[in-house]
Amino acid sequence: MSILLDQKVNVIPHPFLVICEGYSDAKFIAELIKHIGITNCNVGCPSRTGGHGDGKGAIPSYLEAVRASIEAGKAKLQGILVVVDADGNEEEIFTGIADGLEGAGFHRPSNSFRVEGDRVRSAIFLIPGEHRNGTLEHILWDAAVQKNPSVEGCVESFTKCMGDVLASCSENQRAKIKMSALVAASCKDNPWASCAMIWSDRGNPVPIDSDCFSHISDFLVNFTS
Amino acid sequence: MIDSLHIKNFRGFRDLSLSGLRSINIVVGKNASGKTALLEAIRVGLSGTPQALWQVNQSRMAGFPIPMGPSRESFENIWSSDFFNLDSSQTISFEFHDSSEHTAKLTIFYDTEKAITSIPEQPSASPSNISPLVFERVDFAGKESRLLATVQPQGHVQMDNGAELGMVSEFHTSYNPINGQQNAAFFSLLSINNREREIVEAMKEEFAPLIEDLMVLSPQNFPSLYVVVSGLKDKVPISLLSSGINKLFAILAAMVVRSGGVFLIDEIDNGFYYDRLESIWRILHKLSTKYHTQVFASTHSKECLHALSKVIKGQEKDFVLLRAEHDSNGSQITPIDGRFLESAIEHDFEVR
Repeated sequence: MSILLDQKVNVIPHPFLVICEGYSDAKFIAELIKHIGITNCNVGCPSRTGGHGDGKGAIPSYLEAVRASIEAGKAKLQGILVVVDADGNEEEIFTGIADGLEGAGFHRPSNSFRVEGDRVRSAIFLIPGEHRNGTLEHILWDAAVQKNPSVEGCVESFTKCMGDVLASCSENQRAKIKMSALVAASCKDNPWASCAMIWSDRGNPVPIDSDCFSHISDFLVNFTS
Repeated sequence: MIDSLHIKNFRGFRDLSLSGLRSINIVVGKNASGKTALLEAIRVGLSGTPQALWQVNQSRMAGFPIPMGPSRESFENIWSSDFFNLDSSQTISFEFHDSSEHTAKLTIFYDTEKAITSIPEQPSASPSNISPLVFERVDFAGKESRLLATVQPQGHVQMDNGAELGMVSEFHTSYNPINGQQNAAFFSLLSINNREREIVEAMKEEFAPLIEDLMVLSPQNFPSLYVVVSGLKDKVPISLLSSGINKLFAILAAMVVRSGGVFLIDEIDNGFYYDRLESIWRILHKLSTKYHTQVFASTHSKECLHALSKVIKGQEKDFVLLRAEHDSNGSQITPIDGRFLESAIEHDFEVR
C-alpha cells in the first residue's frame, strides 16, 4: 500500500485508487486500509498547492489527471473510488462527483455506495455513511466517544462555555470544533495536530479498529476484491 | 491543419493511425519510443520528395556523410533504416487528412522491374542491378505524381525534384545546429512583407533589456542576422550572442514563414533557461493561432510541460499530448486531450 497524498505523484502503482477530498480524509482512509490489510490500493487527494486547489471542487480535475495517467500508460486501474463528506446535501454532492467521473471518462455510478462499471469500476462513498449527513469528524468523534465515553461530557461542557462563538456554527463546523478540541487535549506529541496527524501520535484518541468504521472497511474490502 | 494521419512501415512504425491532432501537439515518450520518427514521418510525408527523406536521414547521421558507392548495397543503405524492421521489401506509406477534409498520400517502395545496372568501382567486381526508390504521391488537391531516387551508372545518386504535397513544413532536428543562413533568409523574407517587426518585438520583449533590434547584414557578402545589444557599441551576430536566442528566432521565424503549414521541432526546450519556457509556449500558441501554423514539438522535460500549464488553461482545445511508446508491434502514439493534460500537470501526475 502506498499513499499518493497531496504532492509529487509519479505513477499509480496499484490497481485500485481511492480519491479523497482532503488530506485528513486521505490519511484516515490510508490508515483504515493498512489496518484491514488491503495491499492493492492507493489513496490520493488533490493538493492545496495545485491550481485547482483542494476539496471537492478539485476532484473533477484530479480525476482528469488520473485519466491522463491511465492514457499515458502510467496506471492500470481496475477501480476508482471517490470518498467525500456528505455534508448537508447528499444528493448534490453525489451529482457533482458523478459528473466529475463521467467527465474524465469513467463510469458514472447510478447511486452512491455502489461499485459499478466494467473495465474500470467506479464508486462514490459519502462519509459518514448511508442515509447520514455529516463529515469525517462525525465518525471520528463517534469512535473516540465509544472508546472513552467520558470525553463526550468534557468536550460538550467546553463547547457550551464557548457559547455565542459556537451558536452561529453549522452542525458540520461544530463537529470539526469538537474533534479539534479533543485532539488538542489528547495528542501530547503534537497538541495542535489536525485530524490528519493523529494516527502517528501517542495520544491518538480515535481507535482505527473501532466498529464505527466497519461499514467503510466492508465497502473498501468489497471495492478492492 | 493536419487532423489525422496514418503511417505504415516507416522506421519504428509498423502501422500507426493517429487522430485528434490539434494546433499544438506535444510529443513525449522514452528514448527510442518514436518521438523523432513521428516528426520525421510528418516532414517526409508532407514533402513527398526524395530530398526530404535524404535530409532526415542525413540529420540522423549528425553531420557524418551517408556512405555511398555505385553498388546496390550502398544505394539501399541510404534508405534501409527508413523501413520498419529494416525490411525494404515492404512499402512505406503516409496518409494525411487535413481540416478541410482533403487527403494527401505518399508511398515509397523499390521498383524491381525498373532496375538499372551500375558500373562497379573495382573493375574486378561484378555489376549490380539497382532498383530505383519510387515516391508515389497524391497531393492535397488530389493530383497524382511520381518521383524517383536512383543511381546513375557512374554511381551518383539522382533524386527527382518535385513540389511538396500542398502543406509546407519546417523541421528543426535536435541533431543539427540552427542554420544561420536560413535565419538571415527568413528574416529577409519577412522583411519584404513588413512582417519582421512582430518577431523583433517578441524577441526584444523576451530578452529585455538585452536585445534592442535585429537586422540582416552582409559584411563579407555573407548575409547573417545581427543583434543590436544594449550597452555594446557594435552589432553582434545572433549566433555568437546566445544559442538560445538564435534558436528562439529560428522558431518564431519558422512559425510565420511556414504560415498555414506545419512546424516540427525536436526537443524544443534544449538551449532555453527554464524560466523562459512559459513565455515561449505562449508566443508559440499566439503565432500558431494567428498564422495557422500547426506545431509538433517533442520534449523530455518536466519543466517544459509544467511551463505549459498556464498557457493551456482556457485554451485546452488547442493542445494535445502525444505519448510515444514502443513495443514488439512497433511504436504507438496515444493522444491525451489538452484538458486532461492540464489537470495532470496541475496535480503533478507523470504523463511523459
